[in-house]
Amino acid sequence: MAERYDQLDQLIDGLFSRAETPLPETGSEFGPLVRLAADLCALPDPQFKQRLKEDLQRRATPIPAGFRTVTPYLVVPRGDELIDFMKQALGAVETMRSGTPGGFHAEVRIGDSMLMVGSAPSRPPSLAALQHYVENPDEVYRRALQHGATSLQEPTEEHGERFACVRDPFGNRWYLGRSLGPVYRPQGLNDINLFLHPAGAARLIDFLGRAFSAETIERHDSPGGVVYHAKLRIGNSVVEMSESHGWWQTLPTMVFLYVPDADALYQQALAAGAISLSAPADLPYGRSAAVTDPVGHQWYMTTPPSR
Amino acid sequence: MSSPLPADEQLLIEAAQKDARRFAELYEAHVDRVYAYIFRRVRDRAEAEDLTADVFHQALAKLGQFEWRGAPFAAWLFRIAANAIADRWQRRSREAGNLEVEDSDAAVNEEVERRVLLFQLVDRLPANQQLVIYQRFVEQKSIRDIAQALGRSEGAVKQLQLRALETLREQMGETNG
Repeated sequence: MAERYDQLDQLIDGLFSRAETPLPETGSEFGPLVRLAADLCALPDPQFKQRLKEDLQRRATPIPAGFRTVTPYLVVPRGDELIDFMKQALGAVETMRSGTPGGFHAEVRIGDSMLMVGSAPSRPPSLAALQHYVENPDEVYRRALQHGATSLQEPTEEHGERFACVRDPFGNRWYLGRSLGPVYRPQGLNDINLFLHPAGAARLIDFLGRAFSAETIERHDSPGGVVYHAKLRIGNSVVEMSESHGWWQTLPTMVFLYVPDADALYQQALAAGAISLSAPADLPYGRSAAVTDPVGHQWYMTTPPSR
Repeated sequence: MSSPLPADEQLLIEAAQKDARRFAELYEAHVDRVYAYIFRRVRDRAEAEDLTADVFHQALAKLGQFEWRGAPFAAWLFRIAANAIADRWQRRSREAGNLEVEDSDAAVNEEVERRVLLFQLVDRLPANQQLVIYQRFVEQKSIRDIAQALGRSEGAVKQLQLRALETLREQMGETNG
């Protein structure tokens, strides 16, 4: 037996080193196996296939450069002050601003992520909890306090991260984290990730799965079924979630989604139990519709004009 | 991944033409086939990967132009692949100066489908045999390196390789009748 598998392996080694060598006759002892082995030299690499699939999925979604599927949209009465805070404390860069009746719409980049900011004195604010991975959370925490934020948690180490938390002057919560691994942010996450704290996280996870085809990639429940922490993939973004408790309460969050087909997704969301805020319509920035989820978060889905 | 039935495939193509995200399903159904088609021509892993990516990028971009006339979707992908290979070879032939003559369509299809079937059967092997096949043929690791990585003896790894190949030969024989 030992000789058989040794002989076969020598022939396979030969395949690797001399691709043009004639294969053994099919009638010979190892002929059929070596021919099979020659075919296996063409076996595609599963990692290549997965990478290409992800690349195609990215290309299939018409998302403007720099954005991902999910963009938190913060709306406050004095948007310029919020943007100043983000610039000074978080190193944000404002990439565009355009006037709207009574206010403006702006877009800012923080690290590898984009946020939208609305300035609207006459409408209720839209706020968010944002997981923000940074190289040095202590430093960012200090700068945030200097520029008007309130500390919710001083820098500390827990669950494999250096972590601090502040509330900005408008009520948005910033979870400043640094992974204690070799890279400052955990694999698969971005510099900014939306964090939801619904009352009824399990129900919201179910809703998001049906409404937006969100895929739960991680979920930790208490024995009683309370969601401690979950990560959901929506398109090419990750949204984190945990049941509301303590000061981790639900915020009136608005989310902007870049999607391939706003009409179809709007119908899908309604079928999942969403409440319509606006039916699909052609707007200057694309085909857009909006719904409210069972917790009250607002989801604006937009298909930009074809490139 | 076996090719979808024509009626299912037509629906899938129409769905992907409306919502490009559905293209991933067409990709899953045909990636092994396109890769096998390209590999048999170029016989180089890096080049086959590069060209396969090129073919699917083009297919996604041109999907709106695809019209269902009953010919399998794979034939459309093969045409894109053949053009991509020809383009590359033409660029190269200016330097090297030769173009290979392609076999007949039937012979190509038969060989490609045989390999696609083989790739599917690899994924149904027991986990330890599958691991050895991927490490040996995709990563082209030596038996010694695989043995070290798996914490097994070299003899045990060679035996797994032999068993895997024998199982595949048996199953290929059964499937081909």
